[in-house]
Amino acid sequence: MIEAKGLTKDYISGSGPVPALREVDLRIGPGEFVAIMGPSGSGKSTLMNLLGLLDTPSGGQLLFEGRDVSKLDADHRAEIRSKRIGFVFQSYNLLPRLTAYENVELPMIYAGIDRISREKRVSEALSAVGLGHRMGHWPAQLSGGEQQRVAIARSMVSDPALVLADEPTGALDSVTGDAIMQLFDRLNAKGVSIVLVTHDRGIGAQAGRVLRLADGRITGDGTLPATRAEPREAPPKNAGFFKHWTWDEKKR
Amino acid sequence: MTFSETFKIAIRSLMANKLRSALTMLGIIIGVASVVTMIAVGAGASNQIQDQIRSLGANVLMINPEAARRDGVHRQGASQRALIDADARAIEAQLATVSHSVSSVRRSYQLIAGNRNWWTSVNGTQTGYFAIREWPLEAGRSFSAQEQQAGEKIILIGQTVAKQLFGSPAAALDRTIRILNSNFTVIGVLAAKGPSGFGSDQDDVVFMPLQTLRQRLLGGANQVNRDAVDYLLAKAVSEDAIAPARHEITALLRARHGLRPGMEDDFSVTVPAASMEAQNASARVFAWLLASIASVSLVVGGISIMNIMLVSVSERRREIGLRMALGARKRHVLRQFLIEAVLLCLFGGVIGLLIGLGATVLVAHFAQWPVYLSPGTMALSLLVSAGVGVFFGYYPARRAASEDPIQCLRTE
Repeated sequence: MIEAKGLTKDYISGSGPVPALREVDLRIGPGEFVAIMGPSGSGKSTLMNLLGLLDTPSGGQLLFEGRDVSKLDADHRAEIRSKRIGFVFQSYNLLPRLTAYENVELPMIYAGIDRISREKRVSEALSAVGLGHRMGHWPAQLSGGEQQRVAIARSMVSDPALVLADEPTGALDSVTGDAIMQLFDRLNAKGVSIVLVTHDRGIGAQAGRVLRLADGRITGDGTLPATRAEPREAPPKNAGFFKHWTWDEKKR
Repeated sequence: MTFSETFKIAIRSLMANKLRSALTMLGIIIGVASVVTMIAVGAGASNQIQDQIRSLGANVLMINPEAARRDGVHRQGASQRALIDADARAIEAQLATVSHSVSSVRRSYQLIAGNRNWWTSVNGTQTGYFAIREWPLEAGRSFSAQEQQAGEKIILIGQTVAKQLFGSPAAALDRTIRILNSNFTVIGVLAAKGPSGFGSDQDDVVFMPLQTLRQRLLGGANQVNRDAVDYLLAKAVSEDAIAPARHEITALLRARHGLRPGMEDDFSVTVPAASMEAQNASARVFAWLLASIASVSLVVGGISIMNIMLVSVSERRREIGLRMALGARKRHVLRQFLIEAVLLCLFGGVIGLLIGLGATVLVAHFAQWPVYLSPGTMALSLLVSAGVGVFFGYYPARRAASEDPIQCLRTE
């Protein structure tokens, strides 16, 4: 699904290039759940930016769904992002002047999806994260957990192949964080590749694969022993694109 | 992303900061309002002068006698050679560049009608006068050739005289006006001409055949030359013929007056509209000057739009980064900020136009100045407002579009 071959990224400073990522080789397949862990400055964010096509590598090659995207211009990368990649940020990053509905709708507007389809998919996505009744609410009227659920709905609404999450539970309490991770599980169960950055070992253990980064290099690629007592969610009941998605308030 | 979606987002952004949007628009509001008002006042003045030029009649030349000069010194009035009827007839008959020419004598008399009286200018002339001045009758008729020859006691009166002596133009026809010891019948009332460019009331006047004036009013007053007239009027066949006509009239009259080369003219040929055209030109220049000064505030308004849009781009870097991360292309971001700037200017333009209209009405009402605001000017003012938005909004919008999404997302 996404493959990096000898991926490097240097930042230019006054004293010359500063390597942030060195010769990274990586392959993430469809439906994989990958956690990226590592200390600050290890290159996690740089790798996420490259995988999310927000940035271009200084060297090496990056293939997304078989296509070399290493040297694509900003507009072409934006087009791929709008259609195939979802983002979830630690600080939710909802636009405060748009309602929950409009925030979720935004990537589809940029992807050029028609209004009728948008209405249907936004409604399904927000219902899937348990916020079908709060579509018209402003971000300021939602709790942190609810805002992150809106952000997850936004990330999945365009039917992405890959969702990148940067410390998605970092600003949430553990109960709400668990609930958010359940949503990622469900999304992953549907076949969407998930790559998330975390410092939390529990969350790392929940992922099927953990990449350890240090000094811009991958120093480990494997699994962590599970620390969570709860089993993964049972599979889905609803039909259609969001059939794997149901939100049970009692499980929060 | 459709235009309406971008438009909606832009409106939402502007509404989110109502006070700031309003203050940003202020410069454009003031600029458009002042430009609109200045143009209305300038166009009003220009139109008034145009009307006055039209009221003189097109392509009119006026010939006045002048005292001869020798060595730069004007000699006594008696030394001037008078203009006579025959001069007018010769001009009309001999010059191809002139279509009509008439002679006139002008005096002032007390007019009496019933128990009312009015002091006004009495002109003895020929019917060609009205053709030259393009002055139609509102009621009644003009003099016939026979009446002119016979010196009939008939009179044509202007609107002001009709109102002063008879209360209304309609009531004046066939009534009698006494001047000195003669009674004259009103056979026509001239249409209104309004004030002249020189400030006098053109409707405060009466006309009678030249022969009538001489026989009934002047009598033996002009002992020197009974054929003398006060001035001649001539009409050039076209606007282009004015200059050649002036030249030919001068040559013809010099020959008729026996002026040798080197001797100065004892008459002057003037084009009354020319001086008014000069007035018109200066009015136009003044109007443009005022509009230019006012448009400085429009430029200042534009700069303030640019300033605020730059602030807005800085403040909304996180939003820009997020939109880009979610798939916004550079053109989407550029269009969004550009539309915001254009909307600010356009709203400001509409409000400024309304204020300008209000100010124009106030100027017309309180200062009693003529004003004129064409729909074209109003549309243009809105177009200029939008243009200011595009011009001053482009740079901030381009700056927003060239932002790096990663840097923007890091913005706190």
